[in-house]
Amino acid sequence: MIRIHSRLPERTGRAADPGQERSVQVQTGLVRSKLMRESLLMFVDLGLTPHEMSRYTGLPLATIRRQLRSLIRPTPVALPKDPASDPADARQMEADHRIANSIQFAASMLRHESRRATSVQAAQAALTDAAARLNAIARLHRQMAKTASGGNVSLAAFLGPFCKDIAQSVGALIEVRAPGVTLGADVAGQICIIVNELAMNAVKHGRPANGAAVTLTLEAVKSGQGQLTILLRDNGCGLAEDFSLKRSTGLGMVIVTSTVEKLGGSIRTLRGDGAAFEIILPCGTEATASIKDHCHDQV
Amino acid sequence: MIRSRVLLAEDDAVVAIDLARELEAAGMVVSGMASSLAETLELIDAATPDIALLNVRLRDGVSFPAARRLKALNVPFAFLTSFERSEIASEFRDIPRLSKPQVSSVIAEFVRHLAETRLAAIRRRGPGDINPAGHSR
Repeated sequence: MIRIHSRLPERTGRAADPGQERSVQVQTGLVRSKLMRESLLMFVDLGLTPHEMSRYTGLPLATIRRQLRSLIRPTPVALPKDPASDPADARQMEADHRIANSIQFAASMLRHESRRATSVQAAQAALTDAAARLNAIARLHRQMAKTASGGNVSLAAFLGPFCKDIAQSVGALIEVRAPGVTLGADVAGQICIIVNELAMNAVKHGRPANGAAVTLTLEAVKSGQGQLTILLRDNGCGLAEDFSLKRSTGLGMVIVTSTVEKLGGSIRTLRGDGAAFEIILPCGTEATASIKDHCHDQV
Repeated sequence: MIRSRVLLAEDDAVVAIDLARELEAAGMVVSGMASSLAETLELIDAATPDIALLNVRLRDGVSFPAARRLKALNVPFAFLTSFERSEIASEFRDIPRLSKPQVSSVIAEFVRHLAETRLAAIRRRGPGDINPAGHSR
């Protein structure tokens, strides 16, 4: 009988004591599997066949094959998530953009004001304005965080907390008459920014002569053709004769007109006692839908 | 000294005003300010700028069509945006992105760098090629 003496350890050698084998496996399972993967990768590089690998490692051929399959099977590539697929992600992304843009706005506003502040009084006034704007932005973020993404809100309910803030930080009372007006939360938020600016202007330039508290009334009506008309009137001494929205250099009016433009609307001054403005906006929800469609087409 | 003409597309008026002042302080001329994609495209057609700075989200949509036009005209530009790289169309992966919020003097510095790189390239190529795309069409 011929016996072939291999220089390699016998395959059955270790299996002779299965208990010991198992405990080693448990103790060093992780290390072993990593070691195994690395050795197998090296063997693959060397161009060994599974049979040879089995012979050199003393592992059953089936184990080698199984390990090789897991090595060779491509691992899925993590693709960037499509925000549209997960509403929670989309919401987070929206919030991130909003925060980044607000901070950029705040920094730009402060720089802009700092260029124009030529006296201590002017600097003080600019800082007070800046604080009032930051208050409004902070409130806006809190309100948006509470509102469902892309959802509709009641304008009166949305404005409520803002009006309280404005009474505190600006010192103007706001009366809101917008029965049954609902619109996209993002549009409602922008209206809040406009109200804040006009309230600041009313306190600064148009205090009522009789010493009464500065009060603004906001009336909002939705018209048939998908338009929202907003009338904002204060009880002050009115706009200057030569006042023009276009020529107004104050940051407040720049913010008001650009916000209205951003919403695709128009603004004009009205005659009468006190400063009065008429803002016409395309109906909130439709405006945002068209912008979103637009984005989708072009991305 | 040649003052580079910069096109600024930004939908936030206050940010745009501040940036324009900062760019002018850094020695450039703001040749146009746009808040919408339509305005941006009009301005590019009216007079090709030397450099452009684009926000991705403009009033009426994203600025990618304008970016495409600038690329075709060989105008160096950068995005100024709160968008992550993954949110920008892949054809613009090679375009520098300044992420918002960003200090406006840093932005101005970067735009000036773009302008100087462009001028240096023109000097190397010679004055005959100063406007490869033509200033006005």
